[in-house]
Amino acid sequence: MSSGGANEYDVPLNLVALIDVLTNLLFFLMVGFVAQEVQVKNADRIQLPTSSTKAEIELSVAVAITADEILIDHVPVARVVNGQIDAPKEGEKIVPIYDRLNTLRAARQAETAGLSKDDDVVFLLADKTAPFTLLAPVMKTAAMAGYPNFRFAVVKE
Amino acid sequence: MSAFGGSAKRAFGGGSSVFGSEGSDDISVDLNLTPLMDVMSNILFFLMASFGAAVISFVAVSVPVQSDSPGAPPKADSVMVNLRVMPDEYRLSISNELVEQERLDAHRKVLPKVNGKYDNEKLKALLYQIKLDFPASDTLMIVPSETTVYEEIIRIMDAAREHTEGGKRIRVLPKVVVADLVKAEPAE
Repeated sequence: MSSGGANEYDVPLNLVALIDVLTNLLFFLMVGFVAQEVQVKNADRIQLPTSSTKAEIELSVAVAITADEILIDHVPVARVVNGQIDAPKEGEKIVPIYDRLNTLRAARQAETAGLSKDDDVVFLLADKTAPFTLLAPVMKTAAMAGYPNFRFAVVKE
Repeated sequence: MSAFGGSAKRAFGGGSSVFGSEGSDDISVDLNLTPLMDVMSNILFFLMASFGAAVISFVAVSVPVQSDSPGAPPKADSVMVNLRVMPDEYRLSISNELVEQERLDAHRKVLPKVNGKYDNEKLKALLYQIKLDFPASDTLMIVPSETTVYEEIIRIMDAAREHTEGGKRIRVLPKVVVADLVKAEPAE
């Protein structure tokens, strides 16, 4: 449909289809963005290492090891002082980490009515310079609490 | 004229309007969608830019867990690959009670640091050689030292995951177990 004088053309563009496409793209990008934010809320204080892995992120219990504290699903459970975990211990078990993981595991099992695929997996966020002496006690405690499998968080290369 | 291709008409009771021209009873509403497109395009651009900038992923690891059930019987074409990360070198070894000691010893290597860095390229080549000799192997046991940092463990796992040859990606040792040596306490 056009109108105009001898040298003018008024060309109406049908933008509805384009807006549909853009809205869909926007929606899925924002949903994906929110899903990632859930996992890496504490990553601002952590500089993750890069990796050549292509694995897509999957939701599980998130344990973040920062320079000054340890958080489980964004809740601080233990402090880190001079590169060591400052929390009550029973042998190699760090009690507050063990208790929190046990509580989460019980809650997840109640939700899913039994063990599901990710109920024994911890998503571990740690700074790339974090020493193994800091990682090992957290990993051992998680394994004791029924989480022997880990997903080490990295940034895709 | 309408941006929708046809005329979107609604009866507003007559009179002129900023939304468009009208007949005696109908108004042809022309929505100016250009600002909306501008805003959406900008949001889309920034979302896509930030999405590509830092995409979080993961590498799967497990820790050894004591089990009372008997494990799977060892296979002659599979070995457990052990890597001790010392402060200044890697110590690589393989184990399987069904394989002759000579074959196992052939893969026992020490990889010193090169220019202060662990030689992950050499490690990658050696792990691939083990995979060729024992194709059913799929597990790497990493034993870090006290000075090993998180990034170094990730580098080892990257080296062990796959080997690319002729554009073809071959899985080498995708299963990784991070173990911790128990320190012997001196007897009193």
